[in-house]
Amino acid sequence: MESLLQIIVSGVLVGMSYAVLAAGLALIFGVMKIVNFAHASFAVLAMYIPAFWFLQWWGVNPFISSVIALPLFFVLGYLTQRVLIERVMGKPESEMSTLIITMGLSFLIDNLILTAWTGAPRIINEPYTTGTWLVGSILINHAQTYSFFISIVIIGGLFLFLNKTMIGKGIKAAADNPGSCAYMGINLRFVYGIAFALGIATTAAGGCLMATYRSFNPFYEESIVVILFACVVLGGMTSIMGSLIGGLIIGMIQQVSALLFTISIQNVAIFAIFALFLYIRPQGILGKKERMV
Amino acid sequence: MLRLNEITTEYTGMKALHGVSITVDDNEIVAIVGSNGAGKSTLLKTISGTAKCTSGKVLFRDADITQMEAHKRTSLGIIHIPEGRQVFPSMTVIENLEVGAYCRKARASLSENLRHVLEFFPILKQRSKQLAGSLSGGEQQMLAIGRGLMTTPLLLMLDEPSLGVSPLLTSFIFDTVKSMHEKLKFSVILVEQRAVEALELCDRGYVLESGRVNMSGTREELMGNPMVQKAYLGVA
Amino acid sequence: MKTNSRRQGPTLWGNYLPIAIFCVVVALISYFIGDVRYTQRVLLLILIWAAASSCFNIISGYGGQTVFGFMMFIGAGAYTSVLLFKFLGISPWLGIVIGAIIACAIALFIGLPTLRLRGAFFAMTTMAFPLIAYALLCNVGLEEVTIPYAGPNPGSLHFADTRHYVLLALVLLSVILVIIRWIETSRFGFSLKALKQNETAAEGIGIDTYKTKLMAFMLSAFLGGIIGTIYAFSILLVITVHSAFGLFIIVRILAFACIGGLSTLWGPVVGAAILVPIGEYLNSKFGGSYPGLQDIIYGVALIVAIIYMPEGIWGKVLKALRRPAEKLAGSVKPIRAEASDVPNIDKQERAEPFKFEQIEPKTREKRNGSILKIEGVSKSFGGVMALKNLDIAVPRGKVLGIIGPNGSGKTTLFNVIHGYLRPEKGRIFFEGEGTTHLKPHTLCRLGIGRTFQVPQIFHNMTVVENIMVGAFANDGNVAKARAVSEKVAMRMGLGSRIHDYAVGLNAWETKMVEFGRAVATQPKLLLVDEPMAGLNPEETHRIGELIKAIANSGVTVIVIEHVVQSLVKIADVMVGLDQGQKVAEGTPGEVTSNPHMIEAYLGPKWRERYAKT
Repeated sequence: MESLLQIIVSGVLVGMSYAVLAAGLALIFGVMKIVNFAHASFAVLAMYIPAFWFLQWWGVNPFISSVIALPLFFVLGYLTQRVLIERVMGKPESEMSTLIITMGLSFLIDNLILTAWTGAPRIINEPYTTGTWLVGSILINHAQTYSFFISIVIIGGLFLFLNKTMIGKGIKAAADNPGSCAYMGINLRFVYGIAFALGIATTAAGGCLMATYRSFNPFYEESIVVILFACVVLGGMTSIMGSLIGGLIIGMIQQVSALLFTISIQNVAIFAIFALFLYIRPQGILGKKERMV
Repeated sequence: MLRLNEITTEYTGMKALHGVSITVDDNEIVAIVGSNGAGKSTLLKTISGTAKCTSGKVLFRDADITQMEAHKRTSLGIIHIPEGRQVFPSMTVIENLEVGAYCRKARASLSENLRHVLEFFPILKQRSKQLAGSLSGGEQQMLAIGRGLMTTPLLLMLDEPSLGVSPLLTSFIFDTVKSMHEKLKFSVILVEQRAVEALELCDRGYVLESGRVNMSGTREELMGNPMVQKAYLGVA
Repeated sequence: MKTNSRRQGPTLWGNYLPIAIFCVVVALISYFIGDVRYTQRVLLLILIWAAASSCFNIISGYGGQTVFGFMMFIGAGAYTSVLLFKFLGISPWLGIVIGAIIACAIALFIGLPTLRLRGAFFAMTTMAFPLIAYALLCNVGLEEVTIPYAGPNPGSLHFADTRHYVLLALVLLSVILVIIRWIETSRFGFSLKALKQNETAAEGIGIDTYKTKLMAFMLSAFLGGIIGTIYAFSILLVITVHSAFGLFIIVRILAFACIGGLSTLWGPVVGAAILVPIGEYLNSKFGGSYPGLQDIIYGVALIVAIIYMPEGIWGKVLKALRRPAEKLAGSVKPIRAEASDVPNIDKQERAEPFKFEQIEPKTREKRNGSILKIEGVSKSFGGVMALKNLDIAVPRGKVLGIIGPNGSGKTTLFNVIHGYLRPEKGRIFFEGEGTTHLKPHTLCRLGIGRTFQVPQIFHNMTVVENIMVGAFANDGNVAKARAVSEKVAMRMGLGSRIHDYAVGLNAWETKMVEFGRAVATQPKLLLVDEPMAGLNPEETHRIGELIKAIANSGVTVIVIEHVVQSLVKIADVMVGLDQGQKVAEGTPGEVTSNPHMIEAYLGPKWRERYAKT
């Protein structure tokens, strides 16, 4: 019984981090209908800058870095969209082109990290990384808990932005019926830029948080990309709420399989579920009405 | 207010409009009728900028807007309610209306415009929290029109509002458009395949056939004119 | 008439000689470089990557299905042969074949379910499999396998002289190029090219897109498996899951293929020849202090290629060569068929345009009765009834015109007849056989042809090639198809544009290609969707003539049209639809004066108040 509770608690804590990472991906896919292969790479980039680097050079703790990462990666995401991705959207064969370009971008980012920081696995070794509380007989990791709450705030902020601001509504509109946006005076290119930027910013923040309790390396994205896509598919591809739920479920699945399997099989298990959903129920758990939020 | 000079527009690689010229004055209702494929929708799209003309000029209030991007024309007051309504199905009625006021100019008067729209279309008020995709055809049409009104239009363009709408609601919609026009004093371009309803409402009308203006005239001149019937069915 | 002196027909020599020359030249280069280990190794790498990219090109370039998990096949081939060699002592030469077969089998296993998925999903799903392989191999302790090396031994694929590896890779590359060239000029290649550009149209022209994709997939996999083995034994000392299934493999392949030019024969070779030396050089010089440099270059190259040169360097070269040739052949200005202009066909043809007697129509039967029967067909979309309980009998050998206002269900009807949509209720009988649930390509083979309102031609193919795709529905022989297509092209007035790429045609010519392609399938029943859209009066008249001529050659034609006054001149019978239901039927005169029809178009009140009784 207690081990079950432990699994649930750990799964939820970790799952929330996945949820934040996946939320950005769901946002991008939902609005722009493109699959961003570089998504996980941006997350890993954030683990190095600002999380790791700022800590090393200026002693800024990664939890604060996750907030700093928001505007930083917002700008980076916006530029990426306007300079690179926009060029191939809307052209013939744009689906394949965006896939390839994001894949190339992912590769590029990974290797830039490799060149700058070498391939050695990095770890943030602060007290909260390994510190735990004991509640009953359940161990709760400090870093994961802080990340949990910050993640909730970030997702909540995203929620509010999409629902309460006019640009947010414009983003939802673009996701729903892009052809109709020009009639409202919505500049699609601008809205796409903002959506992409938001997605990347969110993910970057999530990356910083994840760095507090996981070791990472330049190619870490290969480990988490499967998880990200699984969360998104599970949750309904375009729904942010869905990726939240997807994240939590995947988190728990991972905890369970960690007891039984090694890391690589864990990923296979996740991928199997991902593939299963893709075939059987591509609209994910949250069903047909692909609401953005 | 609006003048189209010798517009030639291509749509999906084919010439949809050949040298079309029309004018719309302040505060008047103009009907554009004709069979399908005549180019009516393309004409509206050229005005709203969602289709680019290959030659000719679009002049709005004496300014040449031919090269202006579509989303900018909305802030000028040119509102296009597209064919098939094109609401945002997974957003609520209220959200749809709110996003109608997206452009900067309209945001200031958002709540006031919202109030007007809900007065004109009380059924929208009833359904304000419902998802737009779950509304009936007629309700969606009202939502689409209401959404267009959120920007205080100077020129409201309606593309086949009766399509997929029950006859009862169609009459209601046309009557409402007329009273809105009288109250808020904007010009209207009404595109309809069904000639009668459009012609009854308008001050002047144009008949399009195969991308050209076949005839034009006042309401009296066009109503019941056998040449209009010929434009559709080839026989008078 | 200006005849096109450039013979397009590919000869055996013309096709394969360049590859043979390439092979010889590279072999000589290798020989003359001598035993300089490093240079030979770079050359080897160029050849292997070129081979891998070319393989990938088959399914992803020519076939248009991006396989992100392509390293699955390379890795499968590599691991298979290494494991067989290490644990069972089986010679790698045999391992090459076994590895390739296993890779091919994996492709079948993966392809069957995934090829039904859309582009992005398909690409992503294919990535799963290398991941799974990765994980499984790690789990059974095969993360790293040392390749047993007992000194140079040709029997176990261990050559002392790198040049022998180079030769082997060169032969492999040449074989792959030959295969690609063969594909380009074969019916299989036409099908691939067509389905890549427009899968919907390809289905409708009789191409079994699913089967074609699967075959291309398996072929790529087989060849990839061969490459894997050679890669393992010539480059690696230790095979690791990363080197066999790593992500870098697909990114590099993409980089080389895209920079060079996807779906061209030499593109991947050019790409590899340019990028590999650069990458290797940078790696050897700076790789120590900047470990990721090589792949950064490849990543940048890929992004640059996609944005700035989607057709690749070699693709640009081909295009540049194409343009002057086009200028020669198509020196007629793109004109619209204005009344005063003389189209570029000789007087004989102009006098009797569109005679189709040379083409054997499939049916000349004098039978009467209905060639097509639609019984009680209903179809709805999201709650809207597009077709309501429709009953239509299409008389054989006649022109049936279908009219109706917007939203009356006309195009939906065509889609249902042609197999793109399934009706919820009702049945369809073609030539007495039930065809309700058949796929478009099957129906095409049975004799239903179609032209689309917006012409769905294949822009990256020439006029005659477009028409050939249609001809292939009847006969797979390339030469025959070409002959038939050239005839059809002449009949359609496209004689001077036969070898021009479809992308440069004007609206009229595009329509002619669309019709030509449909006619080449030798249909018994032709569905024509709004042929007169966007045409001027002269052109409208000509299309009417065309339709009449097609009907006269024994084909039953159903025409949807809005330009009713033109339709009445060519239709023998007409059906009027409104809101998915049949409201009028009979002669053109009857239907256009039918009060329901008038009401449907102009509104109920018109008839009431104003129409002449």
